[in-house]
Amino acid sequence: MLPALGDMALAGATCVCVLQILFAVQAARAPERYPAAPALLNAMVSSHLLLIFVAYCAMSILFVQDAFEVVFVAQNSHVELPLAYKLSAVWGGHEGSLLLWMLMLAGWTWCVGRFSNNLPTSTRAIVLGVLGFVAIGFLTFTLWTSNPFDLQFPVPESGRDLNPLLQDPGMVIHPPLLYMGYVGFAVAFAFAVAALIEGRLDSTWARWTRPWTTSAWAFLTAGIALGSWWAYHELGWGGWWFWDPVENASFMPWLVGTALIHSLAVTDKRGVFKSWTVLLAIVAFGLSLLGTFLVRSGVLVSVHAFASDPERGLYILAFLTVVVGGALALYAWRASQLKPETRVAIISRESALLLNNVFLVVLAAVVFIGTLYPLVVDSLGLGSMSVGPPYFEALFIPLGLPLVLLVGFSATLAWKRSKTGPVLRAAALPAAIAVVAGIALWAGIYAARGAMALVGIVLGLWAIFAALRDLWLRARSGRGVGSIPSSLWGMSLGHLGLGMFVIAVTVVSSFDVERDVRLATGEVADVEGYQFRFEGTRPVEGPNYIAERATVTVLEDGAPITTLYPEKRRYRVQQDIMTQSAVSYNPMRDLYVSLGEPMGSDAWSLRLQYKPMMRLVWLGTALMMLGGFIAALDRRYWRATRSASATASGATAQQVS
Amino acid sequence: MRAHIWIPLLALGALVVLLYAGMQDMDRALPSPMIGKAAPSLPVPENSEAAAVLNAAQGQPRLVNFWASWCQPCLAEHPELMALAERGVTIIGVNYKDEASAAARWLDRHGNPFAVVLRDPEGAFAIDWGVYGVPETYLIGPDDTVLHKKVGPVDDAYLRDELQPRLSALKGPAS
Repeated sequence: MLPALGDMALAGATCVCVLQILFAVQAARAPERYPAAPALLNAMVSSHLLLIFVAYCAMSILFVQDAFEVVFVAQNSHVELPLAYKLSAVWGGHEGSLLLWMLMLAGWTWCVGRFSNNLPTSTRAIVLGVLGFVAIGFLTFTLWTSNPFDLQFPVPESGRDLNPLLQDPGMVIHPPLLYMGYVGFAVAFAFAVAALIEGRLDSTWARWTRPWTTSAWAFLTAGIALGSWWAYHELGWGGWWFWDPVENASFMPWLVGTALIHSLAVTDKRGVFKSWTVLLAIVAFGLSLLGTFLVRSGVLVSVHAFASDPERGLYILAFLTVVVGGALALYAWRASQLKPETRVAIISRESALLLNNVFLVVLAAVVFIGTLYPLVVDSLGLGSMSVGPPYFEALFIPLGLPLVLLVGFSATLAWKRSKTGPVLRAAALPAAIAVVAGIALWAGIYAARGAMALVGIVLGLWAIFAALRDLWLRARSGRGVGSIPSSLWGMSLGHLGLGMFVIAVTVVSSFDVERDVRLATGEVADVEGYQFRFEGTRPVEGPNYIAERATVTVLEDGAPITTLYPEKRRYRVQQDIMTQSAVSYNPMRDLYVSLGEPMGSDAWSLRLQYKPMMRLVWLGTALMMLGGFIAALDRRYWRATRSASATASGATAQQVS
Repeated sequence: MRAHIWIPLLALGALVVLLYAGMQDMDRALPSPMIGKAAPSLPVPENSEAAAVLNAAQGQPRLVNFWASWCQPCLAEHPELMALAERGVTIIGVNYKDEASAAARWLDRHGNPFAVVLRDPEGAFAIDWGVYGVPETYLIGPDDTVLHKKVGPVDDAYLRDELQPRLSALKGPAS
């Protein structure tokens, strides 16, 4: 009954999508003939969301009911699985994750329909039509190649259980946030296509797109950070970024998305870089689709890959070609009609942001090449190979640090043309504080080791103090802290977070200490002034696993400061062994213990790690995310203005001629 | 019309061709020159009991599996091997570049699917077999020739599409 309901809801949603696209085409051609178009489109979008939501709920209920006649449930659940993980197991496999993806797309589309009353009817119709097209692509993909409601007979007695790696709170919310980001770029893409079709590449278009893009970016930031958090706590190696193809697949849209939110600012405020901005919007979504393809096609070998199937890979590849290829062809056609833009002065905020874009896009290219190079080599028949962290680190440090330097100048450089003198004067104080505090931190705590570490610390502090100065200057010149617009709050928080992130990454990668030791009960190992005393292990039983839990007392100068309980879990159904690490943290350091193998007569191998400033990596990314959300709330974007659309149509006439 | 605006479209085209090509060699089977030839020699068994098992396996279809306790994919394929052993398939385990004690502990802990475990601590025998890395599994026919080689962990697809048809074919003429 429920599987049939889910099937019908998906089929119904497909039909609604077809109607939505057909009607959008009509309404975009002759908006004056369809005065009810906005209301009608909204009704379609709402019913689409409702149908997908029904399908999603049906799947969740099937999981709760342990309905193993559904193949997808049998593959990803088990009677013993805790309820929270049964609900999150919906996106624990390929088919269900598509369901989540479509739910998010429907949700974003609904929001666009709901919050774009200030858009001209034709633009709105095209945007919703494009989003409908993307939705139909995923709906047909699901129904044809990966229907989560497929049934099987005979019904197995028990399920195969959710992969134990995914049974972690971080993993429960990581995919939804990541998909929110990916799918959010579909909105930016739809606006870009609408602008190209209407020939309206102007500042109004940029202003409409900005809040959507910024919030999608913030979701993506949170999603990537949570994935990294999960890897850090769950994989048990103490690493947090592995340059794995699938991590890279989410990082590429992030880098291009970061470039996009900055270049949108220029197009919004100054009306330049139009062609570049629209191209970035297309590429950001294209890379999101590419990420989906890479995870599901089996083209690249990765720990994240879903069970791959050539038919699925082929479908996504064809969809990617149609959607992105179509948009790029449209771009090639329209961009050739754009008039040359006014020149940009070298010392200006525009040129600084252009430089920022160049660096970010080059970084994205570095990741792209590193991810796909093994595939190129393989296709040319030159053998299998993999590109590892050394390649990425060698390129990210020299290409990333100039970006951090640039960040500190963001608010003091004026639009159009800026004088060098005031900019440098404004930079003097934060720069001086950064250098002094940086050297103090580097020499005082980390014994002046490694010159590159000093560079990273100083640049990070520079970004932080420059962001604080921007807020302070604005508060002083306006009417206090309350007069600071949320766009400036968002930008400053984002840059502050970046600075914190840079410091933390520098410190943790330069000064972390890792020791693999063999400890018998009562023995002590010393790491960076902390003593780890192994108190032995005892068996514990979880809901669906049995574990060996060790007790490790951590002492500082002989006084106990905390007790850690790392575990080695064996999940009963899949018989997988999982390392559950234990972490004690404060802002200055993480102490990370993972339990290795038993080494005979109550001795175990343990990995002890001292990771300085690890918490600031998470705090920094959290601030970036927060900055994104706050910036998206700026009132300027949400003012319903008739005048905006009036001037926009005036601008259209100028643009295309 | 300016030429450079077509660059993104051309780049996409190149990418699609590349990804399509990448999907074509999805099956990562590495052809082995050993197929159809006589199976290379195996390490000498450590005791007479093991030698007897090995002798008994001669003239029977059997699997030779190269594995190591340090190898994660070996752990992944382990349940499949256990199931095969339970169904009466003879599996000869060659412990590759491993400590004897670590290997014994690994087998104690996870179970032993092997009819006999031979040791190749230097990886010298593995060179003769053409082993790229562990795990690798070879199907040896009753006439002692190599019939098939699987690189990487044994999985459902391999059992269903490669091993089972070949085992049935071997049994077929006899019965």
